[in-house]
Amino acid sequence: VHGTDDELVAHCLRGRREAFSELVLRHQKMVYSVARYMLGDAHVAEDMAQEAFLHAYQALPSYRAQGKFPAWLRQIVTRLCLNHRRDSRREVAWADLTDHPAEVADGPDSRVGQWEQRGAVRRAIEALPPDYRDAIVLRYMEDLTYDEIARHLGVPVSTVETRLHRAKKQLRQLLQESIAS
Amino acid sequence: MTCDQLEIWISAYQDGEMEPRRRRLVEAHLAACSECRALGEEMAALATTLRADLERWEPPDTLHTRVMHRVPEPKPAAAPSRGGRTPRGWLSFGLVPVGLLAAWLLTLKPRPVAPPPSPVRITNNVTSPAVGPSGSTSPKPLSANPGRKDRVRNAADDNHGTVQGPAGEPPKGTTRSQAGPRRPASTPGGVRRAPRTGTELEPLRRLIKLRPPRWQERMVEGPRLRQHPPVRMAGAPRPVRPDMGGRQKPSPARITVVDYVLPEVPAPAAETGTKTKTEFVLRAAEPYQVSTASFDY
Repeated sequence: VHGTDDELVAHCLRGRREAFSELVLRHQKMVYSVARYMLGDAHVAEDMAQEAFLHAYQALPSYRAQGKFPAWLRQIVTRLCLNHRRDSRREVAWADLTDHPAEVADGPDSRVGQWEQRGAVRRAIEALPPDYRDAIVLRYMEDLTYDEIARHLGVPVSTVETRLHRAKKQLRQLLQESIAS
Repeated sequence: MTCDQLEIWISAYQDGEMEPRRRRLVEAHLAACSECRALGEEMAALATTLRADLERWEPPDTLHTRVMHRVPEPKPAAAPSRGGRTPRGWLSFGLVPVGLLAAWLLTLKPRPVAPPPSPVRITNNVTSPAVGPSGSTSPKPLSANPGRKDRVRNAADDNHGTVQGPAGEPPKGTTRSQAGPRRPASTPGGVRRAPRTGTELEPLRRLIKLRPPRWQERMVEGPRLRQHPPVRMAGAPRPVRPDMGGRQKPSPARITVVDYVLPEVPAPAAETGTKTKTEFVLRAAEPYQVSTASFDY
């Protein structure tokens, strides 16, 4: 099954299950990454990504074809992660934040250094409060505007500005400490 | 505006997320304040680092399989479509007044007026007077068009009740079918059917005795039978309860079963084995003769 996301959605609504399979293949990386950064745990993130796709499948009739299927899907997984974090009332464990066995196993020195830098960034993000972390991920990984972040998180734009600013100040300090050590 | 007040805007300014009025304020301040300008440059470098190093995670290989395993099979009928066969939306609302109008017209259709039944009263050995509209005690007339309950009750009373004629006449001691038209809708013109006689019921009794054992067993077990209305052949008269010869108390449910429970006809080999094909066909047709037999009132 080929075509744009909106065409695949139309195929799904006509009963073609393989069209939704193609949509999952296209966007599973984005969905899983958002869930992984927001929740921290790999298994919980996988469960949440699965729930997000199922929610999206059930809500396909309400999707308005405007070429914004990734944004629509991202909003679903963001809301699910926020609800999960609110319900669980626990601080996620980011123990496996730097776990990237594929890059470690076969990477040359340059890639190891790159991975170490990425590991430092991820460790710095690990130390951020969850609200700051969400804003950073949505802004710099998903390239959302402040308005879109505000809609995703359900907060005013001024709150997004404040969170991003404070998050970047903390990240700057954490990264300087990491480089110094 | 001080540096502390402007600091929170610097990050948004570096991200290009600022309205023109505030952007001019920030630019004017950065041009004059080197400390804030250094902070802005650090924020821009950090944003570049985050965009470069904050990569997406590789999803596990099992994610796609797990998702598609839980995705239900699609229902093509659930897809949004317009112009289906069945009326939907406002169209179905528009059919409501049409249906009401049709129902109203049907109620205005003149019905054939049945002749007034003769005042008949079931005594059943105990006279139960009913109070008439004028308050005087009068015999309770039998309904001209009895409902299902009445018909069942009337059928059950056939063996025990006696029918009285008009007030003042002595009990005739006859069955209701002899006393008056019980079903005027099925007897056009109010013509009364001839009473049953023992001679007419004799072939029926003979057929019932020939029915297979299993069918007979089901007929006895009245409560287990389905309460479906009887199905009649086109043009066939309405079947009535066969005479059980006084062996059991008649039940209306038994009457409905006659047309539904088809007996299991034994195979020819299970019989004597010497019967001809014609005999077997006749044997197999026996229960159907019973099921489609026309019984007279």
